Amino acid sequence: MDLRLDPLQERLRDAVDAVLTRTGEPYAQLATIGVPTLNAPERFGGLALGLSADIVVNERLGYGLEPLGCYRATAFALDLLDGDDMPTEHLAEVVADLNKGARHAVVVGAPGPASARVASDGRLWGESEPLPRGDIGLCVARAVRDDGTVGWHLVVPETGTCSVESIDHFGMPASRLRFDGAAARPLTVSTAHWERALAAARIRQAALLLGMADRILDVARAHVNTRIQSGKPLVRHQTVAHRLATLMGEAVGWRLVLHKAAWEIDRGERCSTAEVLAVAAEHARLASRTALQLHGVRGMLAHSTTATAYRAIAVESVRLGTPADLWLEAASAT
Amino acid sequence: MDFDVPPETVEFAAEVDEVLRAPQTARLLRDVRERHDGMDGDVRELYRHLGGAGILAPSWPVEYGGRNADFTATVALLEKLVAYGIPQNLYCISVQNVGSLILAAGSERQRRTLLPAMATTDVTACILFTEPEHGSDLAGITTTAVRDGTGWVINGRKTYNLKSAYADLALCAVRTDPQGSRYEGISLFLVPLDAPGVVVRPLPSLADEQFHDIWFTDVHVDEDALFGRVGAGWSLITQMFAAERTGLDYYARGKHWLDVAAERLTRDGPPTGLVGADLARHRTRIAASKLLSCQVMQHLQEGDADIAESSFAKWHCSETAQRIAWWAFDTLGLELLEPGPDAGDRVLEAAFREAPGMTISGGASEVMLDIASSAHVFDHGRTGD
Repeated sequence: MDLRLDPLQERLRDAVDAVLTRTGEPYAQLATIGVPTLNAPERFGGLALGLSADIVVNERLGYGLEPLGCYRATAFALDLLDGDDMPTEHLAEVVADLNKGARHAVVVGAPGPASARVASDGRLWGESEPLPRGDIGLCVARAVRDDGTVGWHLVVPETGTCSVESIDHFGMPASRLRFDGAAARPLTVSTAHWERALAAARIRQAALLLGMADRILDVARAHVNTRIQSGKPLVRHQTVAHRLATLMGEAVGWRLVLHKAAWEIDRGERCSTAEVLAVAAEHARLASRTALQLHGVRGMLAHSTTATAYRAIAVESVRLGTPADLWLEAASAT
Repeated sequence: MDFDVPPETVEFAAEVDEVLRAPQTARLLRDVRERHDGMDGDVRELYRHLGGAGILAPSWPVEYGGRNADFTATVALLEKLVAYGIPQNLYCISVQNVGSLILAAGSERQRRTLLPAMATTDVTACILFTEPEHGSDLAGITTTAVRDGTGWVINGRKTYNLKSAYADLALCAVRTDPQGSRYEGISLFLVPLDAPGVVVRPLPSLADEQFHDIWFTDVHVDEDALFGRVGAGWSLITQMFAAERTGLDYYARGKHWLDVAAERLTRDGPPTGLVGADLARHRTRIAASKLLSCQVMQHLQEGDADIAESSFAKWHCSETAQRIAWWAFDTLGLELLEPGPDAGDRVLEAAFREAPGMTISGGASEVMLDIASSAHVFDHGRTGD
């Protein structure tokens, strides 16, 4: 057992941190160090390095407060596609763009009941939940068929049958995909494959949330060390210091739980991760709420880091299920 | 990161299982539970049986009675001792805490004479730091040791210590320089508890294991009872706390209590709804406790001990175990308070009584968070100023 980051994880962490200091579109910048292909299946030109590497990327994105949902959405979509044995040569151009960071993939209808519907002629109608903003090159959509069954479909968005609307999602930039008779190819995704893909997606999301929590706790820590109240720094009040010490220590424990889950998935020893996302979501929310409280009114200013993190963490903490639902799911998995 | 347990640990765990399943172990454990001594129940004969099998100090070097195993063997051992219902406090205090400090900081003579005997529990040790007016504030201790012609004379009182009635030796913190600073005037001694002038009185506790009051009245000890240098006590205590506060024993108890509660709750099928969610929540949290404890032990093994990391692990493990004990009562209700013959009921009833003390003993939670804050939240902690 070795609970230190391994050399690959350390190099990856440092590389992502360096990339995030560059100007330019972060997703394309990440492509310059090969990140989009890191965990992608080999049949899609990926390196299949596994979640143990991927979570380091997502933690650092979270720490940089660059949620970059298109990165995780692409990984989720390719994981789902990898379960189908259909030929994918016709997707070569799109996949090349995904790997270059020029476009990204999305998954529609993963959380909650499917709302889009597929007509008997194979045409998809409806609209997506809020999705990451960017150029969508490929869509894996869960939709209701004419016979009432729900299934997965592959859509390559085309002008005329698909439109993308930029939206504001709780103050965060997002997009909504509208299907107006888009050609939808049915996919065969077994229950086991869906569970594996969802488990991996939740691990990536948990890593992002723990990274975001680390960042906002660092921001809070810096603030309470410099903000003077009643003649002494806020941090000298035990109620302040202990709250932060508790959250920062808890983060170490949750990170170890996250890494262990990723390691087990990589070895094919685990398929349920609802509880890992639940603790990460709850921790990140508590971190953002505590940071805001410790900043006082200035934390409420619209463009403060605390307010931005509060919004971003809220959105990301429910993207793949609410903590309450995740705990109930974890209960049924035990 | 790598979460694999080495094959040597898997083999060791199987060996521990075999020893703990042996009829002799069961018989000796029954004797302890009978409490013939009217106190905690003397666990030493049982320990000597386990120590004779060579399983109690796996991480120590072979020449001192150990097996040179890595920290995962100690984790496996504690999990199994607790799961089999072996009272582990005397073991943890004597072998894991005092023994490990002797291994790390004792003289070669102390290591060679004491450690093999401690590994077999032919010799047991307790810790006497706390005094009536100085619990968490250890730098305020007033028990003194004064040089006389052939050694030292100790006077004072220690209290609220566990297992003193069953210990041959006590690692005792005393003030050797009343004029020195609160920290520099402290020294450690290994005091034989059968020395003339030592009086040990039990103090009944809410939990199963009693505390003790210990008086030292003109207790003479030889020069070689001194542990470390004169005046080096505070740094040795800090070193021991970094090693003692792995949280491992708290984690092991919490895990066992959760396993027992889960077994009770799943008798009629897997719990669902809120109870099932709570169970999943506690399972996830105790998994974090274990990993935090393992992280501390790995760093200790690598000679990279960190008192703040240890303190937080102790906080996490003890708070988690405490929450589990209280949740078991909240969930199972009155039947837990009036245990019948069911062994699981008795475990959870005892856990409920033990729970409040978990965040007090071995370092109060507030002190653990003070240490963690100082290292990780205050600016000076990060810059090292």
